[in-house]
Amino acid sequence: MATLFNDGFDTSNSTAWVSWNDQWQTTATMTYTTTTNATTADTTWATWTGVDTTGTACDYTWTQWVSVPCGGTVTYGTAGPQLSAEEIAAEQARIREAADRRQAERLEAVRKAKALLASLLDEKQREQLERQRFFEFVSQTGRRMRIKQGYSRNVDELGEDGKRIRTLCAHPGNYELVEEDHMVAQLLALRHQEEAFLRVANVS
Amino acid sequence: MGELSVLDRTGDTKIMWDSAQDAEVDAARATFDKLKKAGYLAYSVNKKGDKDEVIKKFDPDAERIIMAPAMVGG
Repeated sequence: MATLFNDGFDTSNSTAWVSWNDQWQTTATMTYTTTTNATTADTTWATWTGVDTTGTACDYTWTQWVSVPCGGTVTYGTAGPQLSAEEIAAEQARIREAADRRQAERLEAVRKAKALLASLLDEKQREQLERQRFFEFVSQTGRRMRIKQGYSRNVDELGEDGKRIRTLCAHPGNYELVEEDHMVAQLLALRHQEEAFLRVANVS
Repeated sequence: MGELSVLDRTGDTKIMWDSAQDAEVDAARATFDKLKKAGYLAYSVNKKGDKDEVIKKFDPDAERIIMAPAMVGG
C-alpha cells in the first residue's frame, strides 16, 4: 500500500501532519519521531528541520515548505487515500496514455506543418531542406535569405558569396507552434512584409 | 473549394468553403475577421504554392489562405 499526498488539501495542518507522521514514521529512515507530538504543521516541520541529522536536502526543502503560509499557492497536502498496487498501476497507465496521446498529437502537428511548408517551396528548396535542414530564397526586396530548421535565431541574410551577413530573429508569437509552422510564417513574412519583419527582428 | 489554414498547435487547422455556398463563405470569413482582429497575418496562396500575397480582407475566391500569428522579435 502507498499513500498519495497531493490529492487533498487540508487547512487543518495539525490533522494533516499528525496523520502523515502516523502513516510514515515506521517506515521512513530519517529521524523525526520527536516531532510526532507537534500540534501544528509549522512546529512539526520546523522541528524536523532542526533535528534531522541524516537527510542531505531536507533542511532546505522543509524550511522552504514551512515558509509558505497556509492558504498560499503551495498547500500542505493531507495524507491521501490508500491506493492498492492495482490502482497505482492504473494511474501510471493513465499518465502514460496521456503522454503518448500528447506525443502523437505533436507528431501529427509536425507532419501537417511539414506538408504545409513543403507546399510553399520549389523542388530545389525542398531538397535543400531535406538534405541540409535549411532552404534559401530571395526576399521581398531582393535579399538572399536562408531559413534554417528551427524557430528562433534561424534566419540568415546572405551575401553574394553565400556567407552569412547577419542573423535575424523574429518568429510568430505563439510558442505552441512546431518549428515548420514558424518557418512558414517567416518565409511568408520575408516574401511580403520584409520591412515589418525587420522592424521587430533582433539582429546579430 | 477555398481553404483557410490557421497555424496552431495542431500544425494547422483547415476551414474549407465553397464560394457558391453563402453559409460556408460566411463561416470562413468570420474566422478570418476574428483572427485578423487578433493580429494574425493573412496570405493568399495559390494551390501550387508558387504565388502568394498579403491580404487584408477575406477573399472568397482565394484558392488558399494561410494565417499566422503576428511576428515578435526573438
